[in-house]
Amino acid sequence: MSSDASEPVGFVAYLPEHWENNSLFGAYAAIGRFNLCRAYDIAKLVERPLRTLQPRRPPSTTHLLEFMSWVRRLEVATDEIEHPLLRRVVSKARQDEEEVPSEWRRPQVFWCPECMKLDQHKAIHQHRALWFCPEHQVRLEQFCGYCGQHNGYRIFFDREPLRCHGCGCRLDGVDDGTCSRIAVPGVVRYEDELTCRVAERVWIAGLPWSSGLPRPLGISPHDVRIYVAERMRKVDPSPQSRVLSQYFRFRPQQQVTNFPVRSRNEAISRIAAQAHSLARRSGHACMQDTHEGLGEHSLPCPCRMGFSLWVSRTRTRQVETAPWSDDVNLLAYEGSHLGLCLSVSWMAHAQAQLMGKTSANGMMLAFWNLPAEVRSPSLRKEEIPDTCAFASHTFQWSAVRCSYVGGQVTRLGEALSALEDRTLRHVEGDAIADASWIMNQITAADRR
Amino acid sequence: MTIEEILRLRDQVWDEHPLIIERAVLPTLAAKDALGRVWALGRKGRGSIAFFAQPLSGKSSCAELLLVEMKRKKPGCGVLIFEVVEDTNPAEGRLLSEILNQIDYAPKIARDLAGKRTQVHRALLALSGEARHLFLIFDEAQELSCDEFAWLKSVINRLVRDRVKVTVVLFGQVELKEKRQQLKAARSDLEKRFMSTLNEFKGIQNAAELEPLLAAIDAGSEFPAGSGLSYLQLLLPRFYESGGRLAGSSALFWRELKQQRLPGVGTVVAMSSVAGFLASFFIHLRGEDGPDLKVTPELLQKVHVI
Repeated sequence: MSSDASEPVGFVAYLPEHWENNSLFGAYAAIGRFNLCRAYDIAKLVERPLRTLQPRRPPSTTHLLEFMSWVRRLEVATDEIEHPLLRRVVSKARQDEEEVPSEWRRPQVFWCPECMKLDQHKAIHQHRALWFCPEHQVRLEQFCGYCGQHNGYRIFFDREPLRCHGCGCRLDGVDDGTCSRIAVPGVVRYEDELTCRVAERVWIAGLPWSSGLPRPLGISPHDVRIYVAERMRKVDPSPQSRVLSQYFRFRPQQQVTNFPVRSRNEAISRIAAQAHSLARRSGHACMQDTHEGLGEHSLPCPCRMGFSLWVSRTRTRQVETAPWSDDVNLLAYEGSHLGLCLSVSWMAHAQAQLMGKTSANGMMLAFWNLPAEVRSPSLRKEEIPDTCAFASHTFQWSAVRCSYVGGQVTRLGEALSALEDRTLRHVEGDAIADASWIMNQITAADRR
Repeated sequence: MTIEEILRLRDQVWDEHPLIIERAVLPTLAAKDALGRVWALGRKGRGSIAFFAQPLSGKSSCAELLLVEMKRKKPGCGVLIFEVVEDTNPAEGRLLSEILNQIDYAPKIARDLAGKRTQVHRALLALSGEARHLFLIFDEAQELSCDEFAWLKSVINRLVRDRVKVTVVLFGQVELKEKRQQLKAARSDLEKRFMSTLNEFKGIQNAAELEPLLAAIDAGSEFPAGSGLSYLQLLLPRFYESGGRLAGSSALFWRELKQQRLPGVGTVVAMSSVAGFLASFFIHLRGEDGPDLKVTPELLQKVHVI
C-alpha cells in the first residue's frame, strides 16, 4: 500500500523549520515560498500518492478542513508512508488535529501579528476558544489589515495562504508600507484589556447580552461592543473594528430623542413604517413584493433578510427589554434593534460572498444564535446609564444596493428570452436591475 | 527459512537478482580507497576530489556505494549523483534545470535564470539535510565544460556562504586528465578548486583484492531487502547451508578472471568482467546446487561467460 504511494516520488525542497513552526496551512505557504511556487502547487503534489491510501477517495488537499477530517479516519500509520512529503503532510495534519480538534477549529484564518512577521501560522490560532496568541500574548486577528475581509482556512488556486483573497495584500498589510498595528505586545495587551473592560460595560440597544463567547461564523456581539468601546475611548480602531465600521453606525447620544410611545407594539409598528418608507425611497423592491415571496430567480437582499429577522425576533420576543421598559425610549430601542439586524445581515452577505462556501443566512443566524441569551441576567438600570449605545437603522437602505429582482421583471425577462430563444443568463445584470428599478418606480407612482 | 522456501523465493526473484543482472554494488579495494578519501575530505568545509578510470571499471557503482556509505556514516547529510551529459552549447540555465531534473525536483522549474539559481540553491540547501553537508558526485565529469565548472563554482560558493559543507567528487574517464590541463590553461582557479587531486580508480588487480568482494557475496550482502539472505545464501542455498563459501576460493576465481583482462590496461581486470563472470558462475550452478558442491578449477573452467 505505502510502496504504491511512494512511486511518483518527487523531491520537494523544504527545511525542518517549515514544519516545526507552522500549521499545515502555514507549512504549505512556507514551502511554496521556499520553492518559488504557489502553496497550491505544493498541496497538489501529494494528491496522487494520497489516492492509494485507505480510505479511498481523499478530498482535495487544498480543502484543509475536509482533508484533516479525512486524515483522522486514515488507517495507515505515519511511519508506513514512504513518500517523504506525504508522510510529512499526514504527520502534520495529525498533529494539527490533535492540537485543535475539528469541532473547535475555526473555518476562517486567524493569525497572530507577531507570528506573521516571521511568516508563520500556527494551528493553535485556529482554536475557537483562543483570542490571544499563546506564544506572543497578542490578540489574534481575523480580518485583512488592508481591506478588512475574512479569509477561509484553505489553500486557494490564485492566492497565497497568508494573503487576502480580496485585495491580494498580506493579511497584516506589511507589504503595503503599513506596519502591523501592534508594535509592542505588552502595551497593546494593556490597551486591549482596557478596551475589553469598557466593552463589557457597553449596553447596545437590541444587541443580546453575552459574555463574548466566540461565534461559529463571523463576529460575535462582543466584537460590536468592542467597536463601540473603541469609539468611546477614542483609540485607534482594531482591524476588526475597521471592518465593523463599514456595516455598523451608532447614533450620537444627542440625536436620540425621547419620543413618547404608549407601548412596545406601537414602537415596532412605527419603526416598520419608517423602514418601509426608507426602502421605497431607496429603491428596495424587495420590501414591496413581500406578498410574492422569493421567486426562482430572486436574489436575497440583505435589507430584506435583516428586516425579516427583526420582525421574527420582535414577534417571538427574543430581546430582553426589561431594563429599558421603564422610561427608556422604546422607539429608539426598536430602531437600534432593527439597525443591528440590518447591519449584521449586510455584513453576513458581504462576507459570505468572499468566503465562498458559507451561506449568509447561516452566518447571520450564527451571530444571533445565543443559547445564553435568554438565560443571561438582565443588567440593572443603574449599571448601564452612561454606556448605552443606539445603532442606526436608516443608512443601510441607501448603502445596500437591492439585488432583488421582482416577479414582474423576472417574468418580463423570461418572456423576452423566450422570444429570442435564449435563456435568461444574468438576472442580476445591470440591464435587468435597471429595468427592475424603473418598474418599481412605475408601481410606486401608480400607488400614489 | 527452510531450503525449499529459499529455493521458491530464488525462482521468484532470479531475474531481478543484482548478481544475475550484473548490477550488484560490491566493495572492492578501489572503492574502499575512494570511500576513505572522500570521507577524509568531508572534514573540510569545501573540498573536491577527482577520480579517473578505464571504462567499465566500476565508477558508477562506486558512486552508488558512496551514496549509501556517506548517508550511513553521516546521517542527515545529502548526496546527489549528477550524471553529466555532453552539451555542445552549454548554458547556465540548462545546467541548473538539469540539476533540478536529476534530483527529481517536483515543483515547477522557474523560467528565468535568477529563479533557477534560487531554486537550485534552495533545493541543494534542503538536500544537505540536518547535517548541513552535501556530497556532490559527478559521474562522467570529463563532459563538463569550463563554463559549467564556473557555474558550479558559484552554486557551491552560495551554499558555503549558507554554512553548508560541500564535498565534490568527480568520476570520469581518462579524458579527465586532459580536462584538468584545459582548466589549468583557461581558469587556474577552477583547476585548483575541482581537480587539485586527481586519482586513478583501478579495478581488481590480484586475488587479495578479490577476496573482500567474494566475502561480501558470502555474508555482507542482502537480497531481497529485508530478507536476511546473503547473495550466496539465496542463489546456492544448499551449498551455503553445508558451509561452502566463495571467499576461500578467491585464488581460483582470480586465475580465471585474469584471463579476461583487457589489453592495454596492465594487470587490472575490469569490474564488468568480474560481474559477467560471477553472473555466469551462478547461472551455471543454478541446477547443480547441493551440499557436495565444491568450487574447483575444473568447475570454474566450465563457466562460459555470456
